[in-house]
Amino acid sequence: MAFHNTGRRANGDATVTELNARPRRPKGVDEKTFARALREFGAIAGERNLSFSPAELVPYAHDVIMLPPIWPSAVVRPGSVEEVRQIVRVANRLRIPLWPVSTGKNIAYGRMMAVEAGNVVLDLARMNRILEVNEQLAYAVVEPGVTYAQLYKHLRDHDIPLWLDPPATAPGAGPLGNTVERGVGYTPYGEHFLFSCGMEVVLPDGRLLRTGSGALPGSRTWHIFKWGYGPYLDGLFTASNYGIVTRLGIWLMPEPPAYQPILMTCGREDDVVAIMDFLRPLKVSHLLPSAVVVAHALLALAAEAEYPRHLTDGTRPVPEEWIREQASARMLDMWNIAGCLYGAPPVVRELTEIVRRRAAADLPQATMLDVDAARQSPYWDHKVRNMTGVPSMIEYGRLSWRGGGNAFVAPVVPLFGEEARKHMEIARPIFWKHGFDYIGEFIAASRDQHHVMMLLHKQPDEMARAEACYRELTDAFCDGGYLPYRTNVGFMDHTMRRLDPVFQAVCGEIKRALDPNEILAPGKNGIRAAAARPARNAPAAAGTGRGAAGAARGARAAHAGAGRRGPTKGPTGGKRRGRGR
Amino acid sequence: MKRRRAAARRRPVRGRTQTAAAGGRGAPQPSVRGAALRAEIEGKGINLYECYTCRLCTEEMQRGILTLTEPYRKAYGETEWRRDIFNEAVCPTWDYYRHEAYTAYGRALLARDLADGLEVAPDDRRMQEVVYTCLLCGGCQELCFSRNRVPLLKEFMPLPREVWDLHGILLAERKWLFDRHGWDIVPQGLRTLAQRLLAGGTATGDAKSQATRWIEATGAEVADLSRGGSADVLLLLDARAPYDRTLWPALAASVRLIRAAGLTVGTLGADEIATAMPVLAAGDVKGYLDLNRAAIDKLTRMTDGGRIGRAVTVDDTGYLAWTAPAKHYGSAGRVRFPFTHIVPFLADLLREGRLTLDRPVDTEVVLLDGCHLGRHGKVLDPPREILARIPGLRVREAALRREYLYCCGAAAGAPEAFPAQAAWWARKRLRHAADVVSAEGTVVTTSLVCAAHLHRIAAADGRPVVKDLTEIAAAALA
Repeated sequence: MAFHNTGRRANGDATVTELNARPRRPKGVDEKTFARALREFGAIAGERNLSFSPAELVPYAHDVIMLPPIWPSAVVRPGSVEEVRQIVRVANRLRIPLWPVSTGKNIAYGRMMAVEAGNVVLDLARMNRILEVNEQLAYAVVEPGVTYAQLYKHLRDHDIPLWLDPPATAPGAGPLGNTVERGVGYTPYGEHFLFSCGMEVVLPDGRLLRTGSGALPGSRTWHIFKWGYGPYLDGLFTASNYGIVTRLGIWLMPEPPAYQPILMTCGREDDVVAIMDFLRPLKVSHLLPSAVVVAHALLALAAEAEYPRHLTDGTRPVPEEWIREQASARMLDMWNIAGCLYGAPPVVRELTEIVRRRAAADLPQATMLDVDAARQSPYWDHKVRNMTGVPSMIEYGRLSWRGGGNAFVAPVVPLFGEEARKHMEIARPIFWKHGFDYIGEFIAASRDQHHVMMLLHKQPDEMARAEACYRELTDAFCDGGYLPYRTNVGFMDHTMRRLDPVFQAVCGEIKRALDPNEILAPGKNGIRAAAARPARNAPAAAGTGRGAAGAARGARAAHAGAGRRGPTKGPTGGKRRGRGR
Repeated sequence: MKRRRAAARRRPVRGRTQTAAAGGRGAPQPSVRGAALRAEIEGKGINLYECYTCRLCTEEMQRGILTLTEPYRKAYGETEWRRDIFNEAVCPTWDYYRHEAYTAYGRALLARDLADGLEVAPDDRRMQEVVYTCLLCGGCQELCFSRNRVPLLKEFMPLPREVWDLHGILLAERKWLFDRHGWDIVPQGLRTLAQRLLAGGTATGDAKSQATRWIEATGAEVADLSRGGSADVLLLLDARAPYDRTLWPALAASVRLIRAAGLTVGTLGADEIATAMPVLAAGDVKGYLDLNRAAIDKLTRMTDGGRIGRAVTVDDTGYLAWTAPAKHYGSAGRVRFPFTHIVPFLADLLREGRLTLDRPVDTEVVLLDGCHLGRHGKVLDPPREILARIPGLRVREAALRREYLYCCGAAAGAPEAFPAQAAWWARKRLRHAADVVSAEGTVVTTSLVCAAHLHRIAAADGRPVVKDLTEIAAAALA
């Protein structure tokens, strides 16, 4: 059963069936065993922190992406590392799949939804202590439930002159979860994993691993020296399902004496080539240290304007005249560029002059905005906040654009103007073909650009179309050699199957070594112990075009048939046992 | 045994017994499908999919779009409104449970799933808690990003749609659950209270004949209009105040203040009305509207007959019942006689110079706005105007104030259905007060429902003093 959704779910019997056949327990786990697991989970975390009423499970089953609910069988909310370890041991003994979430705000990538229905969500939000903030060495140590808003307030309330690096949309998200999902921000510390240091990880057998310098008992350098002694293991626990990170050191940026936002606009779509070529030397040389966002007008407008359905009928692109008219009312143009310089005042002044001179020479078509004036516009104000360590959430407004749906598509592209243009040429026709607008931005990092696109759609009516569009985009990018750095729970298997079979096999082998019972986040990022047998699912390597996409679809369909969202195929009653429940 | 217990649970109170047992309103109606909930919500112009799940309805996390709004600027002034992050809990139930289901967006998602056909068991206690611990206080609504965005967009362009309305969804959800599952799904304490109001018209279980005891006890100069006669002002006492001794001083104060303006006062005596907000909280929308229509019709006849000049309610929930829009099951538009609440009424009298408060009151007070009058009813300036006119009074503002107040847990039948939680919320609200006034300070409310609840908790804890605004104002009468 694919997760297609045709038409309004409210009126479809199949959907009613799907909702009420939601799994009462994980697949392959019998009733008695599951009841025992719940008893033990309740005894560890407290009855109040164990949920299996559908009303309490609802928030864990939904995101704004184009998937119908994926129901967990239960939720357990431990309050300490020791409770996490005990729960994991029980899960391992009884073969209960756990889906760990930290603050649960991975919005538009799946939020708290698991890849498979029936998992027990391990909600770590109660573990929300800021364990340490070291002002001199500029780092913080946090638990999974700490949010950016919470850490920001802590720094402000204690007058600690350190900056956060918040992601664009989520003060309610947390630095630990965002880092292990390899999220990014906008200050010079924007590559979050790069600026993390030292993890504590609960392994699938309940053992506690301290990475890096933390491996030494009593280590005094756990969160300041990343590499420790021996292999560097931290990366294994990001974008994977090999362990539960319960503590993370994050480096914080000392508040600079001065900063100068660089805000510019360009008026033509093909200016993107010149813009990215203008930015490349500034980024590679680290002269412009912030992430530089080059956002299409429609991306900003989607957060601030009402979708002109009367002009598009929901199937045609938004007319350029409308975009220009709305953009000009908000100090926006076709491309909107935001970066920032930091340092001592004379340094910032000098760097600003350098950037201005280079812009005048290499990007004469750009308009440099006055920062104070531009900040009257919510979009520019939001950008400046993001680049100066202040969480902001204007971009949430995009969810209203067509009606509640968004899924991020985020391939990584070399930092060349022509690459950006080519990438748009791949993406835009696919969006248009499926009746959606191209709404994207290029985020210039040091040598690459993240081409982040928003598949904004109307829920539930356009979910099936959005799913088809997302699949085609993913395949087209992979065919072109551009790998998404992250994807949503519906496409994790699909994306992994596009990778080299040896890579898949090694991921699976590590999974089997650490989690032979596959109890931690089964299918997260497409990593499965079964993938250690590459012959079963092996697609061709990158560059094989349609064949690869077809193979991926086939593999996915086969997997779905083996129990993914099995309940949708099951009877409506509650009697069925075993797989698929 | 189980069956007997279930039967006992279903046993309705007094007059309603036969209706429910006979399969009438209040009996489970399995034929009521999810589509009815969707129709109810979409009929209010609400798109169920406009929730961003951003959780601003849960925690006030950052400035974002919210502080671009005029109410926020007004609440916090030019110096405070630019705060980047306040980081306070907005939703009292989330604050208590710290669980994602106990949020407005969790409940809105539940409504979406119910509309899509999700089945819930009426005796699922956790489900009851998720739905009915919601205080319907509207805090979520005030901070909701999606809702606040629309008025701001309107500065740029005409919008073809209604504002996203969490409150409308939460009320529709309860209505649908009641329509489908009847009284079985309503938690015990709330069920008892609601059925008591429907059957007897009082919140306390007293007979309506007791509605004049407060007059004898306080010596208030007020006419009993149930025996005939007329008055300039009909003071509507509703279903709680005349029977709850802790509120009698407030009633007497209200009468003194109105009379000080040279107006005569009457009440309905044993014919007192019940606007019965807990019936709405239980989801029995039809029962609630029927009660209110009957009360409004009665007063319409009295005003048409020239027996009363205007109706002034002392009950903030009653005020809301008659001023809320139809999409919130209010009776706005039905009331065609002069009607207001005692607080704006007194503020008008003061403004017109018909009432003066010139006796100094040497007290420090903190005003705690109430959800019904303040947040929903937008009666936010009048109480401040009244307090500002009292000489000697030192007035403080709580950090969570005006539209951004924090519910004390008195609403939606919470003290009856979930007493531990309701007490927790009250104590938290009293701590907000204690943050800005000294130990000798007085907590002032504009809600008799809040006053009764806070008074009970404060009395149990030994502090602080809780008074209705009318008591403070009456102390300033010469």
